[in-house]
Amino acid sequence: MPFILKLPEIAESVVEGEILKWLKKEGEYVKKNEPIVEIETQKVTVEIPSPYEGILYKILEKEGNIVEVGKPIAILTEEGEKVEEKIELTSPPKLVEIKEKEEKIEAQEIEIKVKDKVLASPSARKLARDYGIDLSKFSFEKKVIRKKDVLTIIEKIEKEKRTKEEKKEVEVIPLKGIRREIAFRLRESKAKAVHTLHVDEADLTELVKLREKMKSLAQDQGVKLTFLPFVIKASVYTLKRYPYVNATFDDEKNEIILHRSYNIGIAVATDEGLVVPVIKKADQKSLIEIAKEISMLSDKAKKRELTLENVQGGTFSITNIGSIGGLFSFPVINYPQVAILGFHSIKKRPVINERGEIAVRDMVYLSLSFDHRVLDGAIAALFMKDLINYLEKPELLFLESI
Amino acid sequence: MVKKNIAEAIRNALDIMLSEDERVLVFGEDVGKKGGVFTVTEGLQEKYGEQRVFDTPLDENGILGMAKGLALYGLRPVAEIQFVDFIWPGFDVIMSDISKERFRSGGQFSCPLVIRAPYGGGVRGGLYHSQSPEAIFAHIPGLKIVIPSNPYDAKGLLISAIEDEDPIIFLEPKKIYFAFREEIPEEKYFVPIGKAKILKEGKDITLISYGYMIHECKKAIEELEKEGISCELVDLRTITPFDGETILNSVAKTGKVIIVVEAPKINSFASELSAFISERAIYYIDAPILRVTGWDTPFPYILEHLYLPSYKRIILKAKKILEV
Repeated sequence: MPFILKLPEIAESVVEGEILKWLKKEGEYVKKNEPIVEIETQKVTVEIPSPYEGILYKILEKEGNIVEVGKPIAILTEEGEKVEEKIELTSPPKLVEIKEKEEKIEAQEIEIKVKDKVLASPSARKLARDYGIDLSKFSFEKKVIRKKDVLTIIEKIEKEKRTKEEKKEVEVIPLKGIRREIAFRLRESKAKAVHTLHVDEADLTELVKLREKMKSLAQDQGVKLTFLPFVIKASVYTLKRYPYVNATFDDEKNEIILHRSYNIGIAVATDEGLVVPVIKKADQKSLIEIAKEISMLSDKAKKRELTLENVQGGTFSITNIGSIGGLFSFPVINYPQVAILGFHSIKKRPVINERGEIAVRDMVYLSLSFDHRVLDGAIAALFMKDLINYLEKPELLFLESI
Repeated sequence: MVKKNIAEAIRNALDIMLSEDERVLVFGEDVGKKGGVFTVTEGLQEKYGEQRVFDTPLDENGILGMAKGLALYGLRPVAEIQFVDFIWPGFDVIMSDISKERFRSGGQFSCPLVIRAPYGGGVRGGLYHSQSPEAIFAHIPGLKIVIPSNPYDAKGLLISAIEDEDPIIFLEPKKIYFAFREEIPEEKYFVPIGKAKILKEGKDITLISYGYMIHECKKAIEELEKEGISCELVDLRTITPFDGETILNSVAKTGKVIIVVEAPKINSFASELSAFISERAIYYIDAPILRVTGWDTPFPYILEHLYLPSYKRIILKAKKILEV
């Protein structure tokens, strides 16, 4: 058997040494305890005596090499012994095997005689306590309850609750949040304002064409151009002629307040319910600015990030129900405002033109819900006629634009 | 950058401080002519002369008493105790004088000195060359205790210690004085006292340790990783005042803690850390806080390999903490 000479431990805390000089050459005979190699370390220089008698078959570490303690530095053989080419110098890496006797020394076990306690980790106990779970009522396969076990229980309880709810004939939802606010506001509006409806229709064929052209221009600025900015613009121009429509009603003081700013509320549907953010000073903003503001406000509404500032100060409102469909609706006035415009689906419909022919046109129904206390029916009808005029001849919007 | 082992890094720190601050003095048994039994002060006497780097009689009480006097006088003594096991004749000076000067004088004086001493086992030193008494000193208010685990920290922490206004016990893990070299900056730099370092991030278990034991932890972590167990390793670096923020945040993340020190278990610093974590973060804890330590016996010569916490013992505890 070949003997592998490893670098021995030379002095305390020395972990490596330099091969200073081999005192024997390869092939030379070495007696036991005869110095074979000179090693220099941080602390001392020593000659290492051979622990083996035989031939110095092969030197593994040259002079000048720095070698860790315990690493093979040479192979020695018996005289005439053949050595296989491959000698395994190091064992291949493997998972550490821990021998019981060697590493499992433990302090003496102390038996705890209290047996009727639930064993649980502190974080598991806290979670259970916070959730109101009595851990002693649950049986566990494991001896000690960990946080993840409590999480499993909670999940199970929640699931049971949900199935229970689903099985009931009725489901009782307490009124809270936005829904509560909506209920309160609508009841107030219906109780106070004298709701009256005026419905008319408009031919939007020209506006549809115009928007189609402008859409890609707006797209270049990263803005999605819908019909709503046109309706807002047209409404503002019409409102300027009918100051009593851009008004609010003070029931306490019995006063009608006419507004010189044109702050247009737009109804936005969210998962929580309808909200009406306001585009302030719409008369001073361009079409594209209004389009940008609409998408900003509806994003905020959907993320529930609207501020009080965003929803206050409206003087007139528009609700756009077109995307869903239907003929027309009777919107509820955003009290204390005095009117709200409903804008519905644009559909191709056959109509009789001036020449008495049937033509296919892009038609829309518009409904104006107004407080009859403030506005007479004739005013509402005239307001709608003018508004429709703007929408049917959108070039008028440019004539009056600032 | 230069490649240095811990002994060389400490020598480098002393060299820098001796050259830039003439108040710095280095002394102790065999530190002058011989250059220290672990070669740490080699060459310093030749360079700075016998007035600044000098040998003392074999008298720890005298070394520490002199250090205290020099510090109060306005100098910056760096006293070496050859092995921390020999420090006890000077214990009264540490306990009654050095640690209390600032308090006794109502803050008028401080006692800015560093006591350097090799500590810890693993070099076949037997009973009196192997002990880890950091917890004994940690019980004395007014002292700071620093233990590096690598050359970079050793140099930066020692420079911070010499410039600190308070007395510092700087314990050097003798088993790894020469164990490995790493690149460190040639010039002066500081490693802050009181800040731990997360050497490795992990999610299943937090290992807290310092000194040589860091390296057993690293080996254990490597093995555990092969089995898909991820450990976070916190190198405390300063024993007192210790970095509670780093500890609590790591523990809150993993919910499981193993503290590894080589001192005997009872009243070890692992015990203090365990109590601290219990007080501040018990509701984040999802398993017993375990200590892997030396045994409650004097340090054994023959059974040294069984006495010192090995990476295998850490692996066993890690698996225990994760079972259930």
